[in-house]
Amino acid sequence: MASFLPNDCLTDIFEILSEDKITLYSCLLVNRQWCNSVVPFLWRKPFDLLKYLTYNKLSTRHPKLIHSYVACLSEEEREMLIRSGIKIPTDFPPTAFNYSAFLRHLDISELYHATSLWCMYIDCIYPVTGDNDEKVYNNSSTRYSECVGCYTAMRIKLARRGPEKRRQRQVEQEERNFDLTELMLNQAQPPPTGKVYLVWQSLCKMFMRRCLILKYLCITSPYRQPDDYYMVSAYPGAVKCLSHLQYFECGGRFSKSQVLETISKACRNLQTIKYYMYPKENNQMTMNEVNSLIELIQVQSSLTEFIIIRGGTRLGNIIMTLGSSQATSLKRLEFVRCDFEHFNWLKELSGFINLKELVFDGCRNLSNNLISTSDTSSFPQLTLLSSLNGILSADVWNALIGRSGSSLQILDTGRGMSSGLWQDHMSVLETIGMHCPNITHFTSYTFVGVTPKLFETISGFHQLEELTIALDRFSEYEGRGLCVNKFLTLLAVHLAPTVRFLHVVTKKPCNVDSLRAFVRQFRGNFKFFGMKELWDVDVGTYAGIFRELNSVLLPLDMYSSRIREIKTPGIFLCR
Amino acid sequence: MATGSTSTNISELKKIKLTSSEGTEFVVDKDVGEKSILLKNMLEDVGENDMAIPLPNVTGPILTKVIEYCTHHRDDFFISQDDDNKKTSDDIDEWDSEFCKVDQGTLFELILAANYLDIKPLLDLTCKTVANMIKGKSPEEIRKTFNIANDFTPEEEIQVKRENEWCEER
Repeated sequence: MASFLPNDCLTDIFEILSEDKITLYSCLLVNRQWCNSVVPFLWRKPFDLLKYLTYNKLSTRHPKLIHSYVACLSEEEREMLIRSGIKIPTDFPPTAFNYSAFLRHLDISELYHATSLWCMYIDCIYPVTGDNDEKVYNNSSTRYSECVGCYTAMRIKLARRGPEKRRQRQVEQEERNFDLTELMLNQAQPPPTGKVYLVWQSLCKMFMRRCLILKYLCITSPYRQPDDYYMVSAYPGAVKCLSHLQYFECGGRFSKSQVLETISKACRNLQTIKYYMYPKENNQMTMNEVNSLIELIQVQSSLTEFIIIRGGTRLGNIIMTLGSSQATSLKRLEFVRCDFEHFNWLKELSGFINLKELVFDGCRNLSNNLISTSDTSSFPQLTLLSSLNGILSADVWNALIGRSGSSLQILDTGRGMSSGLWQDHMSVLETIGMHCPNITHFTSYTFVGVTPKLFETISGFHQLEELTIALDRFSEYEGRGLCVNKFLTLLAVHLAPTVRFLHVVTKKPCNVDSLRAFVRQFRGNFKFFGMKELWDVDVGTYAGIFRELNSVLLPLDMYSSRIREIKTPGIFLCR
Repeated sequence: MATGSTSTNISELKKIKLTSSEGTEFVVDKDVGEKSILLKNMLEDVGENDMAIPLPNVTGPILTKVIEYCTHHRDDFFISQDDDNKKTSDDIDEWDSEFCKVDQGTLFELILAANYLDIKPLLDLTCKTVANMIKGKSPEEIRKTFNIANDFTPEEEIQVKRENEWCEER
């Protein structure tokens, strides 16, 4: 038999296990060969590996992760931090690996948060000696937990406050609890003088200098930071480190022109840009920012995904630039809370001949008077069309659906009345029924009067796998018209047997008898059935019904990509 | 060796000869052999030729298994998966799963052969099978399963544990 496998085969195996933190950690300790092969996978996206941990666990894991990164800093860098008053242990041995070189995903806000926790952690956990060599903190773990609790509460509040308010709050905190404030000040002091900022900046500089290939960069902050905070792309080594960047996300209330310019110089192979626009104090700043964004788009060789949040000013110019430079490469466009006033977006988007996914979320003025629905251009490749939380008139819906037609597989018309008027909804359902025979995933809403049209439409989906229907809450509360029990009875008759995932969004749960009748009448085999607001019901009885069917009952709120990972039949509640 | 072609294309009915490490000759349909990128490139380079292609790194029994796999999947379109497409170990179909029910030595030889012959789907399949054998096990259980010796010094092991403590499950 072959003695164990060579490194390149081990790498292939660890690639498969690359999101399984527990197994990777076991592999790390098997022997030297395995350790060498698995370290790049553990340290590629370390923050992602930790993201499903509870907050309590995270508050101990993040400091440990940062501790290993601090150990990777050079002696000079650590000494510089010590001189700035940061209590770094002086006995760091050289690390077994240069962990910073393996990083592929960097979210500076996530790093900042983890660094804050580390600063508190070393203040609390590491023995600090007083004048008489006695330990100052005896119950360091408890002290750390208290600090984390305080920090979390403050972080949420600071997210909504400017620097002035932040300083004021620190003073208030000091008056109330001097002991804790000493620690809080360490991290809460506004950059660039705060200790957290200095450690965080040293780590960012280390990544830019040592990281060979960064693929993902997210430059955001949950609260206001000075412009310097966002300038990681200008650090020494950044041009080389970022030259392989594929994903770039940028948000925050700061002047982004400079960041965008440095990214434009370093990155030509971005696949995804996710960009948050905020209204600026002066119009010139906004213009400069849009120009820089346009330049960033233009220099990319093959952009496949563009997501813009709060796009308003010159959104038309941005879309036109995408059309002129990325028309054939772009596969996905997402607009979140954007304003489409003043331009015919339908005409501009028609230029993206390979567009596969188009999402509007909470957008305004989509149905403006410049839209010409009689235009005949089309989206021949479009498979996903979604309009959430925004009003899209029947004319526009019908134009979009008519232009995509049989290529559409995933369709989301929104989950409530805010998505349109009921007459419009009837018309849209009719168009969908006429033009979209290949739908596999369908999300919509219904209410009295529309339900027969909805059933008629979904009856035509012979390949339907996943259905999400939101029931109009008003008719339920008024005790007339549509209720979830009646709805389920009717649905069982119209649903294609191919459906595996069904979610019903309702304010009131159905009763046990109607659920039982529904699952017995339905001809297919469910994998998952989700229903919101389940906590009033007899969970055990519900679970029994679904176990009989070897399927899973889930409330809708469960994060959809995780639903498919659960294989045990039964009932799962998630609040 | 390889029979039962479902295609009638003339070029696919052409045969090629392969020689295993022991010198055993195998005759396979060209389209089956070309599932190996290594063989495909070789055939393109040398052109029409009756000479057997020597495969000194692959034994007869393993070559038989490889041909069985390529024959079963001869009509599949092998798509190259880029690094960012998430690979999982739980999407193995029934035939492939049965195919991988072999002893550990054979499984490792298959990985090496797939790697050498550059047959990406076979490499993915066999690696997934090994990944499933590793999943959820402790370091000691992994060593026991694959008969691997722990060559860390106690100091090294402590250091690696300490520096990677952030991902320890507790």
